[in-house]
Amino acid sequence: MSKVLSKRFVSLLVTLFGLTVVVFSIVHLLPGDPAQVMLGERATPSAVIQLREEMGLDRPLLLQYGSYLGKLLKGDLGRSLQTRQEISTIISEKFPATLELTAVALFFSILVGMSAGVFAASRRNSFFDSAVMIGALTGISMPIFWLALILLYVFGFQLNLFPITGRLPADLTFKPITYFILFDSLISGRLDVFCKALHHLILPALALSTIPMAIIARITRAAVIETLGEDFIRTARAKGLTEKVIVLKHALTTALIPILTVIGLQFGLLLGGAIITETIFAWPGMGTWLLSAVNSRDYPAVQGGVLAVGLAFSLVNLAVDLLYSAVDPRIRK
Amino acid sequence: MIVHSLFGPEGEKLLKRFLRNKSALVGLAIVACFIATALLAALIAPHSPIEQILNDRLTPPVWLTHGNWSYPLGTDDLGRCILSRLIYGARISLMIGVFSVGASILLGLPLGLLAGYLGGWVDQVIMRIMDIMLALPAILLAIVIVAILGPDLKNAMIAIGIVNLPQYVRLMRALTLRERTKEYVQASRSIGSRPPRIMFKGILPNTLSPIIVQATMGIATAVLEAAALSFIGLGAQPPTPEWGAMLTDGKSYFIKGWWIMTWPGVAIFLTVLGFNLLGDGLRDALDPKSL
Repeated sequence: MSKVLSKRFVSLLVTLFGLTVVVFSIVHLLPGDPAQVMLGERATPSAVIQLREEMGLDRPLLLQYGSYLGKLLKGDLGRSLQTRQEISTIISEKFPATLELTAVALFFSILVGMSAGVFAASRRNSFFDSAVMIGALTGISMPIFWLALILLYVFGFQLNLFPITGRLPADLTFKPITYFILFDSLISGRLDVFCKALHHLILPALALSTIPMAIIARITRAAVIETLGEDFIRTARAKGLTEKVIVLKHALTTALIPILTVIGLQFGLLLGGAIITETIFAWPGMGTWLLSAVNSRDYPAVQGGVLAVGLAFSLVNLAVDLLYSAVDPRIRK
Repeated sequence: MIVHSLFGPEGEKLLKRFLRNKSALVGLAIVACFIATALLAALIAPHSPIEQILNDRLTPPVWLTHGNWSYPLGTDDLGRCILSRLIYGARISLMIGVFSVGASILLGLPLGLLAGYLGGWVDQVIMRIMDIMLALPAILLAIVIVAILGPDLKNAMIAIGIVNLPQYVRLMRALTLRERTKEYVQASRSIGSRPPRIMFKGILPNTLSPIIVQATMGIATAVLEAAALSFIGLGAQPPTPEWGAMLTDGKSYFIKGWWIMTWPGVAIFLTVLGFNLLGDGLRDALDPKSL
C-alpha cells in the first residue's frame, strides 16, 4: 500500500508542478504586452509600466517563474487587479460556495443515480428499466445551462417555489465563519439560515446534478447486471436468499468498485459544470468570480482561481485512486 | 448484396447488427437530419439568419396568438427569424464538431501511437503532459485557452480540440499496447518493417473501430462544450447564429419571449442525443461482446 501511495504522490507532484507552469504561462501567452492587455487599450503608459514592475514582468522568465513559485509556497497568490483584494482571501470565500454546491449536487446524483441504476438492473428489460435508460440518455445529452434556465423559469418565476439567485436572501444578516453556509449555520445554531441556504441550493444543485446522475445510473445498472451474471450470485440464489438481499448485499457491494471510480470522476465534471451553473443562478462561487475575472482581464485572479480548482481536482482524483486501491486489492499490485 | 461485395461478410454482419438496434437508427436519423440541415441551410432557411426586422420583434411561434407562418418558431428580440437562425446554427455546430474532433484525432492518434509503441521516456513525457491537461475540468481548461487566445468561434474550436486531446491519446495508447503484442505486429517486425510503418500501416487500421465510436461521441461533447462557451460569452460572438449564443440572447427575455431560449436548447439537446445514440449503436455493432 505504501508503494502505491508514494507512486501516486510522486505523480501528483509532477502534475501539480505542470499545473503551476500552465498557470504561470497564462499571462505570458497573451498576445502582445501582458500589462497592456490586462489594463486595456486606454491605459496610460505610466500605469502599464507600474503594473509591469509590480508583477515583475520585466525580469527574465525563469526568474519570474522562480519568484512565482516561491510566493505560491507561502500561499501568496497576489492581488486582484479589479478589487485589489488578496486573491487567496477571495478564494477562501468563494471556493466554499462552489464546493457546497458541488457536494449537494453530487449527493443528489449518487442518491438518485444509484437507486435508479440498481432498480433498473434488478428489473432488467422491464418498463422501469427502459424508463431509467431513456431518462439517463436524456440526462447525458442535456445542456445543463439550458436546463438551469428552464428550472429557473418554471420553479423560480412561474411557480415561485424557489429563490432565483444567490446563496441567502439579501435581507438576511448572517456572518459566515468558514463560508460553508450550511455548516456555519448549523454550528452557530441558526436553523432558519440553514433552511434558507438549503432552499437556495436546491435548484442550482438539481441542474448541476443531471449529467452525473445519468452517468451514475448507467454505470450502476451495467455493473450490477454484470455481477448478477456471476457464479456466486447463482450460489446465493441456490441458498434461497431473497432477491433483495442478493441485489443489495451481494451484487451491489461487488459492483461498487466501478461505480466508485465513476463517482470520483464526476467531481471534475461537477466543478466544470458549476462554473456555468453559477453564472445562471448568480451563485457567488468560483465560477461566477472566474468568469468575471476573464471578462475584465484580471489575469492574476484567473491564475489563482485556475490553480485552486486544479489543486482541488487533483487531490480528489488522488483520493479516488487511493480509495479505489483500498477497495480492490488487485490494483495494489 | 452491395454491402457484402463492398465490405465482405464482416461488414454485412456489422450492418445487420446495427440495423437491428432501434435506438441506433433513431440516432442515425437525427444525425442525418442535422447534417442535411447544415448542408442545405441556404436552401431551406425561410429568412436570413442575421436580418433584423424590428417591426416583427418578439413574434411568438405560429401556434400562439399573434404568431404567423412567416416565422414558424417566432422571432427574437431583434426581429430575427428563430427557425432560420437554428438552421444556420446547425452548420456552425457541424463545423465545430468536425473541426475540433478532427484536430483532437490528428494530434491525438500519433501521440497515443508513439506513447504506446515506443514506451519508455516518450510514453512518460506524453502521458504526464496529458495528466496535466486532465488536472483541470475540461470547461475550465477551455475557458483558460479562450481567455488567452481571445473570445471567438475559431478559438473556441481550437480550445475544444485541445481540451479533448487526452481522451484520444489515452484511448490510442491503450489500443496500441493491446495490439503491440499481437502476432501480426511481431511478424511485421521480424521481416524488418520500420516502426512508423508498423504503427501507421499495421496498428492504426486495426484500432479504428473504438476510435470511430469515440469520435462520434466526441462530436456530441464538442457541440455541448462549444454551446457552453458561447453561452458564457467566450465562443461565437453576435450576430453569429450559434445555438449557445442564441440561448444567451434569450436569457434576458425569458419572461416576455420564452421561445427565444427554448428552441436553441431543444436543438442542442437533439443533436447531442443523436450523436450519443449513434455512438452507442456503433459501439454495440462493432463490439458484440459489449452487448
